[in-house]
Amino acid sequence: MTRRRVMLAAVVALGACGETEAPTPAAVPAKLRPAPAAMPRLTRAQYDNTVRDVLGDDLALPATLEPDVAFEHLLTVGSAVAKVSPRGVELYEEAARSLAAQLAGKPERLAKLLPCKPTGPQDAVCLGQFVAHVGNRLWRRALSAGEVAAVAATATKAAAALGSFDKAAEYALVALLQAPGFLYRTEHGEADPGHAGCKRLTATELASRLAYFLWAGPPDAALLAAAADGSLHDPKVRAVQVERMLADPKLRRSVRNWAGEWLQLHEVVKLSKDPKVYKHFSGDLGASAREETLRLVENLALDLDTDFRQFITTRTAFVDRRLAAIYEVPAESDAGHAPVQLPGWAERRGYLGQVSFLGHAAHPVSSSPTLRGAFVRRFLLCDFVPDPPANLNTAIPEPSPDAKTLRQRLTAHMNVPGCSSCHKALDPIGFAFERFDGIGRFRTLDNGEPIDTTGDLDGVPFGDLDTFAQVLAGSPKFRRCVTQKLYGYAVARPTVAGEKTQVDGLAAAFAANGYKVKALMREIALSDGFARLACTGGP
Amino acid sequence: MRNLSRRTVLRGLLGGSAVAIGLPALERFCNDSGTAWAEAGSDGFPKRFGLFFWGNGMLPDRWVPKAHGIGTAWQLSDQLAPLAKHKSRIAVVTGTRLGIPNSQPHGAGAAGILSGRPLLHQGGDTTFAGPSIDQIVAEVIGKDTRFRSLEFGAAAGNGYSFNGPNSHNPAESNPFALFERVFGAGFTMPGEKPKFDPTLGLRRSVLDAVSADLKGLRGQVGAADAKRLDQHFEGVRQLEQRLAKLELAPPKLDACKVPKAPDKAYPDVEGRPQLGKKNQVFCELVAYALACDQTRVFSNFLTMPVNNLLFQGATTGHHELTHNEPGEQKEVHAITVQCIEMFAAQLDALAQVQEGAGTLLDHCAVMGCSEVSLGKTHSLEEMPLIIGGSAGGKLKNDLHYRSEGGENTSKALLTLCRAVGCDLAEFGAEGGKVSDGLGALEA
Repeated sequence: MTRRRVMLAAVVALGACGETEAPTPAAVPAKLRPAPAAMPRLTRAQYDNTVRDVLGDDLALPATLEPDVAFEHLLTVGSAVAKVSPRGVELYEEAARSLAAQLAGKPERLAKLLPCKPTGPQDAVCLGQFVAHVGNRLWRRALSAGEVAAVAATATKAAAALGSFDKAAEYALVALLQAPGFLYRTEHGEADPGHAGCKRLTATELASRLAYFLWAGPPDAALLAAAADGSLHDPKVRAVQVERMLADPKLRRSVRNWAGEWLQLHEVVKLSKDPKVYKHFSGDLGASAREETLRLVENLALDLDTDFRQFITTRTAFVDRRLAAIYEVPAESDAGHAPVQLPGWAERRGYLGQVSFLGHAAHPVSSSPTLRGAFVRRFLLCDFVPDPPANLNTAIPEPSPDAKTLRQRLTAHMNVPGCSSCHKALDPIGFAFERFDGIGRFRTLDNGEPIDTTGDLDGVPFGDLDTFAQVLAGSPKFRRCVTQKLYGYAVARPTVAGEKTQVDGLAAAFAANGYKVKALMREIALSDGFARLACTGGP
Repeated sequence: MRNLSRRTVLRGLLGGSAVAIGLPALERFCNDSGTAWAEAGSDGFPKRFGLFFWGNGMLPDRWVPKAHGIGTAWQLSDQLAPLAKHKSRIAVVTGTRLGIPNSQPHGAGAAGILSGRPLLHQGGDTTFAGPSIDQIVAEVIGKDTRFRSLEFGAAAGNGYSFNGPNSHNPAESNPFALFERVFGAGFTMPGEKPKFDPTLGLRRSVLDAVSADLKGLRGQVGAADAKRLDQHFEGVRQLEQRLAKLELAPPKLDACKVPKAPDKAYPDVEGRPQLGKKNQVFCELVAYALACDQTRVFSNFLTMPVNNLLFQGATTGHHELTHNEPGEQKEVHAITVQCIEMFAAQLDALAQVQEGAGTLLDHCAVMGCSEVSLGKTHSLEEMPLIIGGSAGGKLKNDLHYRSEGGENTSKALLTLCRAVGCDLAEFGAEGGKVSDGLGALEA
């Protein structure tokens, strides 16, 4: 069960909100206490990409697999915590059989995966070579002789029962694709020669971690080769590989995957509004909004490789016809999302002006400063927003002559003891967006009254979305939060307290490098915390 | 008696099959002596357990029937009115409270009502601390069937069926997918011989290899990951058993028939989910899954806690209404009534299947519940609980049991477990732990 959005969340530890932090030099922090070894299971995206990269990108992927569950708000982190259900095991079996059958049904495709030419149904030598070869790619490591033999044993039975080498290869794949070696990214580690009493990832494990971080998929042959001879431990070799990976087109799918997890875009896809209230709503609006957000992330992080604070402040929007109608801008293209410039006078800007934020953090028939404030705190500032006390009447007052707008009503609510501490931390942020209704259309009146959008973010005042965006983008907590979200995604396990200095250092490096996401990915991939494992008896 | 003979066959087969043993078994909850499990009722039909869950609670003032007792002594309340047709086949339990701390709105209540344990907090994340009741009983009464349990629901999300911490049994939200899973490939009509499938042996051989790998890996990882591998191993074990069952010729069951295939999708209409229609299809599907003895345990998660779905006739989302609708909350009331109508549809579907002299519903205990009582305050007092069916005569029906002293809700859950054949000494943990059931519910 993940933390869910609570309608009228919550008491924020106010002490933590006013904290400021000065950039420090981008040196590796001395006091890193690394996390213990983890065993993340492939997320759905990683599973699909591994199958595509190794077996071919034309295979029909399984319709359903065990759903990913978030931890620390990230699905990739949850993959190191959640257990696979019996239903999940059943689905893995179905998927393995379907994928293997598809390949066995296309002899020319199977031939491409074979390192040898079988002499007959019972060609044990070629079968062994096939298992070792494909197994190495699927499991991201060399299989032991015993492992090859175990997979080949089942495959040999298949050849005997079904009479062809193709069937042997098919059942070898069925076995490889259900094995823990495929489904889990096992990280056992080895003694770290640079840190007595500590461990580090093996070169092979490091290759996998790099690949799933930078490509959201498996290591390729070149990376596996650098791991096999151990050279990946050499900082220079690691840097060369990371550079090569950052230049690979597969970087894009990982950036998209990360942004989707970070900003809960799997939830945005399910966006649901009352079409009687919002005539711009249609069932596919969520998917369109998700794509807009991804396009902006890609544009800034990869296409322009520029200052990522523009994610919050940019006047460029990527719209299709649906979104153009909501934003009241011309659609540049009939086909999909295209960039348009929001007019200079418009208040709308950046991610916070998108349907995937304004519509997602709102109710089916109305806006919600509280939901929006809580979303900003949780996902853009990485503040801990606890749940409201359970046994509290959280109803906000009905409109009255004294309190017509939602802001006025919430302000009254903020004065109720027990509600004030929560709402004072959340609502003043959410008020910045009140000129955007529950689907994200601009408005100037709420219930006939002008809307007041002024407020402050942890003491720094703003007047409207435009100035709020400037305050947020300049906040040290925003850059720390982006760094934390990318670091958690990279290491694919919960971040431990001993890594705080590591993440702080990376956040400072992010700033020092002009807030470029690609540079931050490089820093993370080369960081100590990325490759080291816990020490016995403390650091 | 036919169930007994079938069970004997199953046990013989599984006893000699390739089911790999070697990892420490997962924690067991029920008495596993082998005598109590899956014990059929007096008329020879197995007992089944069902869960019907809806999110966001009810309105206690309009929920609790005014009088209590048996038969004519009590009448249905406003919110229970949709159950009129089934009054003689239900027991309503009111006045109980969850003994666990209300540590998270909705989440704590869900863990309390479904597992009898406090919600487990892990930093900012939460999970169940132990298995949910459906999995506790499935361990005993789910052994003989192709599916140990089935989880589904019209707006179920992932559902709330847990094997233990961070171990979710994801619910199926697509009726067609559930139909395919139960009645598609792998289904043999009871009384007919399964087609010989040369790949079954190969599939089991693969699973043996997977089990061996899991076992090998287990020795190399830390304690938390070892538990994850144990759960994975348990899944493989269950799948091996399922494949073994595919080779059996199940005895004929008069009540079994393959239901009509559902539509492939039930898209929202005017921004509103087709909950009633989807639920109806699910209810019928699972009734035949039970009648055909494909499973004996199901969980129907109609909606989830905190769901903000637009119900028919409502002006905004359910969760929002529970907090913000002023006054007597007419809209919340109407939504609760819709949820109870959908519970009634589940009972209807079970009651329409004849089994011997009675109906499938007679052989069930279906626990209808939500995670809070009054949604507005997330109250864990006065918990909503309805029991449909008598578990083969073990439970009293046409009963409103009023707990005047605010007994622990877990007591009712313990009684339910025992009634379907799960011989537990106690249920729940910490404030939710009880060792006595509610005797007043027992027939």
